Amino acid sequence: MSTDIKTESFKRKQLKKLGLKFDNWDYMVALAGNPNTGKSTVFNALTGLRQHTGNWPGKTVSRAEGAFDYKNNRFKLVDLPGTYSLLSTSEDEEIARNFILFGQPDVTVIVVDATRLERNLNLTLQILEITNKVVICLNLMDEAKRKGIEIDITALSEELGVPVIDTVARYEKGFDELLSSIHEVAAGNTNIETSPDIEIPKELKIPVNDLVKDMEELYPELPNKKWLAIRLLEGDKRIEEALCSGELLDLNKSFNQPHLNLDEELKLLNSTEANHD
Amino acid sequence: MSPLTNLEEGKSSTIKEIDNNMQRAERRRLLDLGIYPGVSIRNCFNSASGGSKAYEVLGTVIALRKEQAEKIYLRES
Repeated sequence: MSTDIKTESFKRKQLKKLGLKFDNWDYMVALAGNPNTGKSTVFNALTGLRQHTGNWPGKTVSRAEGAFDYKNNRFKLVDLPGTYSLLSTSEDEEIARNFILFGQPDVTVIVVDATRLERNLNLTLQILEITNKVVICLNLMDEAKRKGIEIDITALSEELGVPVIDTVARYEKGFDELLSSIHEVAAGNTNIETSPDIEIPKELKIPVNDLVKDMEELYPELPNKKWLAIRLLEGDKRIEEALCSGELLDLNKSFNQPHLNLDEELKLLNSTEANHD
Repeated sequence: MSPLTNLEEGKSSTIKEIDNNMQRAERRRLLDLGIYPGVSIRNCFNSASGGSKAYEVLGTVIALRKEQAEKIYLRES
């Protein structure tokens, strides 16, 4: 077992951990997942960092950012707060949701706890409603095995319509496959289809399409209009307010501004730290 | 119908439904925490004040206030 693990991390010569050097990236990858699924372990293993906190546009809530190089492509990795949902109104959930909606990452890696699959699929489905550029990192597979849990990975991947990679992040097991999947999805080389179960019910299609048309006229620059339309029909007050007040438009703008380079980012970080003292 | 507040410490049961008066954000929150019909739930411990209790659901322990737990109904065993 232990020799297996060693070979595994030796094999991964195609990975270069870039730490904080996340300027000039080719692809942006978001890391999402429930709390305590090993998200930070994945983040640290890929970037070589031990968590770095930065600033969200307009807010002083911590997130982690880092970078890695895989097969000569530079990836910026953004570790989102661990949440059970994207639909409730806690600050953490809004940060995760806004990033996936407006940051429009090239790939969203969802770290899923294999020992609590049912609980974790809630967030997974909510993310798949927004984007299908997703790779599922089915983590804690060693604990699942110990508990006698067996998961049909092929069936899960077919049901969800996206790649599912089983991993043990603590030992970087399965990371070759994970990296190659992230690369494939980022480069658009995989045939990802949305599962029919994630599509909206027939009865909702007309009202959703009507709202999307209205939004195309009013807010042409906003991405993910279909998702926003569903929230409005649900009576989501927070989204309604944020849309009408222009908050969502501002958020979208702030995500699409030219990116700060490392010096600017560090300056920003230092000034925030100074404020805390 | 038996509300979740009646579940004794250490005992498990299955969720039957959430009260229809719980709507939108409040209902969504419970669903996101794993509280929905058919799910098994266990009362892990009661707080000294009796206000909130800890429940294990889908492999995670969550705390619910009395006001919320009263509106979650269990299957008759």
